[in-house]
Amino acid sequence: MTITTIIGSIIEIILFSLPPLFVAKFVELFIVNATTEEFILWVMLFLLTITVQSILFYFMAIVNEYLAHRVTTDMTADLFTSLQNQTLQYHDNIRSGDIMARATGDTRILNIGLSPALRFLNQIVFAIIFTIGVLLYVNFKLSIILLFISPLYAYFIYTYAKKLGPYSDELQTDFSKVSIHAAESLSGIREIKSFNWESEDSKLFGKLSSNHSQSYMKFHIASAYFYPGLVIHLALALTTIFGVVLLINNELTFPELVIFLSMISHILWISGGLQWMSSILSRNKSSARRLMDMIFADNYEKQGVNIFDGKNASIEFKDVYFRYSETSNYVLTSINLRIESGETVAIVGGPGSGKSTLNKLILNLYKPTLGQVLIGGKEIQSYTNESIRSQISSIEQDIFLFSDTILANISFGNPEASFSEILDSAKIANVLEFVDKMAEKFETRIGERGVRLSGGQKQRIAIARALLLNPSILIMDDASSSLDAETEYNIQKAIQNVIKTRTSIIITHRLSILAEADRVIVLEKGQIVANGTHDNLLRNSIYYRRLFEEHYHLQPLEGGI
Amino acid sequence: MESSKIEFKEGELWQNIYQLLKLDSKRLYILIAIMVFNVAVSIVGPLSFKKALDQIEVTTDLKPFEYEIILYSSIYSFTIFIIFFIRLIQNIMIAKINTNLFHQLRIQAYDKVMQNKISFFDNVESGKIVSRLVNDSNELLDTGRRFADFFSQIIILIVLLGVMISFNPILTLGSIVIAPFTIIILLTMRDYQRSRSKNWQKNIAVVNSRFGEIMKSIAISKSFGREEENANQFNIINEQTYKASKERGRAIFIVGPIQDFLKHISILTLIIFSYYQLKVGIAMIYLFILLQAYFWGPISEISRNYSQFQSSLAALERILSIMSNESNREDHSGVVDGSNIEGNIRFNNVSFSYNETTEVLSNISFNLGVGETLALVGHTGAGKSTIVSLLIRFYDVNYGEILIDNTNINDFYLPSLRSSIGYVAQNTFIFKGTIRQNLKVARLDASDEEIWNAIDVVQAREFIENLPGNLNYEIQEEGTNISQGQRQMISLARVILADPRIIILDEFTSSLDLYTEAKIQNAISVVLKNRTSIVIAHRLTTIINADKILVLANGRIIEEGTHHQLITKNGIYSDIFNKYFEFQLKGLTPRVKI
Repeated sequence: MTITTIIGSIIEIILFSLPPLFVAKFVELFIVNATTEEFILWVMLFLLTITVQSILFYFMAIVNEYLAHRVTTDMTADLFTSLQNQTLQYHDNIRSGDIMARATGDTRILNIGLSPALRFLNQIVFAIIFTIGVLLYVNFKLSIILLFISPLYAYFIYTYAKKLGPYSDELQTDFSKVSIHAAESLSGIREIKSFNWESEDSKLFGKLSSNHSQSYMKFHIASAYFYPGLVIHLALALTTIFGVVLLINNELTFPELVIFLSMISHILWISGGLQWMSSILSRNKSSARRLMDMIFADNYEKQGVNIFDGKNASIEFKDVYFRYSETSNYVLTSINLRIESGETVAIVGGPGSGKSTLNKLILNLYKPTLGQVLIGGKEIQSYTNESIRSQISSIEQDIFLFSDTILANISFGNPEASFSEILDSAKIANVLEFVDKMAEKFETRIGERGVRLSGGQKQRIAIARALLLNPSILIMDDASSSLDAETEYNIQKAIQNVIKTRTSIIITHRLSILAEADRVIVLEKGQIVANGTHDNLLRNSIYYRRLFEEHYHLQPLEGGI
Repeated sequence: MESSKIEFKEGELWQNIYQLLKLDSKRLYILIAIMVFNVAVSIVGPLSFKKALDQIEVTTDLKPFEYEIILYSSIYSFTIFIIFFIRLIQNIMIAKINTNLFHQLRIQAYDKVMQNKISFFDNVESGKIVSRLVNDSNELLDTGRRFADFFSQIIILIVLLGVMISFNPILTLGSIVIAPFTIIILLTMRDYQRSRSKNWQKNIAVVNSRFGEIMKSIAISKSFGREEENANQFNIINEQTYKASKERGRAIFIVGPIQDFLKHISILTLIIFSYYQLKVGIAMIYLFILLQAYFWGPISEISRNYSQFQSSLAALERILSIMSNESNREDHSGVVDGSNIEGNIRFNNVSFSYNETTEVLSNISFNLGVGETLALVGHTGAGKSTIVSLLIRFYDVNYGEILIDNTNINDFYLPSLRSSIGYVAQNTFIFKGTIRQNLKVARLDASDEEIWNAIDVVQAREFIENLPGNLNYEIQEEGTNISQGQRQMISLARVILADPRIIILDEFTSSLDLYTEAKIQNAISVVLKNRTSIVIAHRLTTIINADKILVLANGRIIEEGTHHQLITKNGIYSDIFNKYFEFQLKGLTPRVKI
């Protein structure tokens, strides 16, 4: 494939450079008053050449275009896979608008660079080499000019592309910023509208867009000074002058001069696109770098080789400290906690006390900054992520559903699940109740992030999604906050059996759940301040009592922790 | 995508480009003038060639003309340097025009899109909108140059034609006889090219949207071990895009070879014509061979530009269709100033559905006096959030009317209405930026002192003071580096800072623990005093003190009244209420009086 492509390209480029020679031949035929037969013969030859060239041209252009898109399509896929394997810490620091800008914007530039720009570069390089070859053969003395000027020409292009480098980088970075802003504002459209923030937001967008267009302008003004044709024009003028001198001294014939002038003019014509090509190639470099940066980012999730089978689903935190980045505060400090296999533990605490973070560590989404998290007695990092995550499932607080059908969203973690399994978990999570009322039932599309559903409906789908995995450890992070009492009650009853048969961690503020948990843990500013049964803590822990004091009459404090 | 139903004729698209270019019309005209001048100068080259060649031809002894020949060649060399400077000015001009054009288009499109109704954003994935606003406008980056090129090339062609005819009409005919075919081919190809380009861009938007969505929610995919399946699914749409790009490639790249072929054929016709015109002399024939190249240069340029223009036009069409669909636009026709309302709210027989099939609200009527608090109660999906969405005019009612101070809310100037309503949504959104910037969204001119006061009301001082930089703490995209409860506190503070007449609180404490909730509750009740408010909550403690309670089921009001009226009625409300306590109390006695 590639060999044929290269050979095809070379043949095409040679054919592409032939017409000037034909022109010179015709001029010669005119001068020597050739016979009609000879004339017709050359016309036919010319016709044949250009027909073959045009067909080859089309095929080569297409093959090149296909290859270019193949490359960028694969790069997009690589970027996708690579990003999926990066740690969450890495993801915390990149923004979705930026990712989108790279995934589609930078690949587009790379694309243009590979086709037609690269093909074009080939064409011009081969055309020059071929021309020099022919001219050397025709008249050595006269071709010296082009021979000397060609390196100058190459040097011009090289310095130009190099000079544009920093401008290209800036251009792409600014482009990302535009994309980031648009993506974020669209996510917050409701807030923007309810605060009449549209015009401020547009102003901000306008500023970013203006920055981007300014960089674009700088880039193009820098490239305006570049005129590769100048060198060729110079070659053409010098060749003319020198050629006439040689002609006068009878060292050159007129048709030979025509060959020189025609072939150099030919290069001049194809140089027209060179400026565009070099600027594209320079942008290519920065786009390729931006893509490579992400594709080869080595923040891959580290994982072990052990398979977690879920039989001993105990969880243990050993002196765990955690912070999201080196500059931020510790979110968890000195956490020591053991949860037995099959136990149900409820976690309570104020906003920012570290409840959700604790769960993310159990899912191995983040690695503890200090200390260890053990699952089934072994350090969590010693397991494969797949086995850990197929045995532990979580109903997250900030529910993220995909713009797909309800069915696809429930089977998200287990695409092979049978419909009856899906139906079972949908029943437990009370999803059936509202799905049945929908015209398209499970095939109903729920819009981006589930916009077409109420908060409670989203939560119920998330619960069904988690249950379908049939995990040995179930984490529910504030999973019922948007549910009304009755729905919650129904789900609670249905889920009871599910919870009883596995290790469960439930973040909640609902009294009913706290009272039924085997144990309650109170978090305060990243530390465990109380640990015991609901009744026990209600009698003894000031932290726990504080949660209820305002709302309920409590028995007087007994021990005090 | 519903918005893509709008189709544009090519003429309309050109008109739009022209409108955008007109913003920069001075530069555009200068540019065209420069481009024409550029070519005028570059024609001097071949003409001086002819002079030189004439000398070669008329005599076999060239010696006496040596200097003349070299002079003409030097004139040619000199013009090259002039061309260099002209080109420089020309390119700078192009850069400025291009820049202005796509920047203007992009901000206009952005402005327009942001004015669309919420239902538009419900139906169109944000990744696709971003793709139109950002990627598609990139396809237009070179439009200014192409446009100026297009016109100057046409002028050049006319000038050249004049020059050529003045030299020799028959050879001129030989040089251009093929040209009309080019135009025919361009015109037959354009619809095909544009539709392929459009299809390709549509595919890119899908890739963009999917990519963004997956990466935004990567934690979910990771915790469900979904990476491989994600990649498989993504590959399907990625490969579809590859297929679309191949189709587009075939359509766009057909023009180049055909152009080349026709150009070469036209050399042939010139040669054949010359064969019968040998008497004009070799110099003239060679001049025409040069002029033929000069003539076909612009023609290839025009056709290449024109077929690449189809790609730009496709992008422009996609942008225009998203920005010019007036039916998506929010209605800003109201003129009544809503910034000084009292706060009386009345719903009269309001019915509403998101789509035509299922009615979400039917026949909702209620009246809420100035300063009163209304609580909405009901199962999830009963229509509680929809009622408040209608009040803030995220959606417009299908039947009935909503009045504030006896004025239909559609009659208010929309921004002024919204400035009087503070809305804390169920899913709070925090902007990327500092905490201060997030709060200032409510009121740009708020002082730090006012900001801290609002923070105190929602009991958030402690957590903010613990953050590095306090108010200057940078919140990440979608607030991921603070907890959800903290996000709720910030969005609540934002509304308090806005100081609106009407406050809507939709599940505003759902992620907070009881202790924090209680603290906020007390402060909030002070804020709510004297303001009209609508509260949605599942924690009945919030509801008990409301002036009025509506119980909703399946989009209808099934009960209404105060807590006491409803409890004594022994209906659905008391049922919900009892279940709540039976379920929630677990032996504790609530402090609130039932």
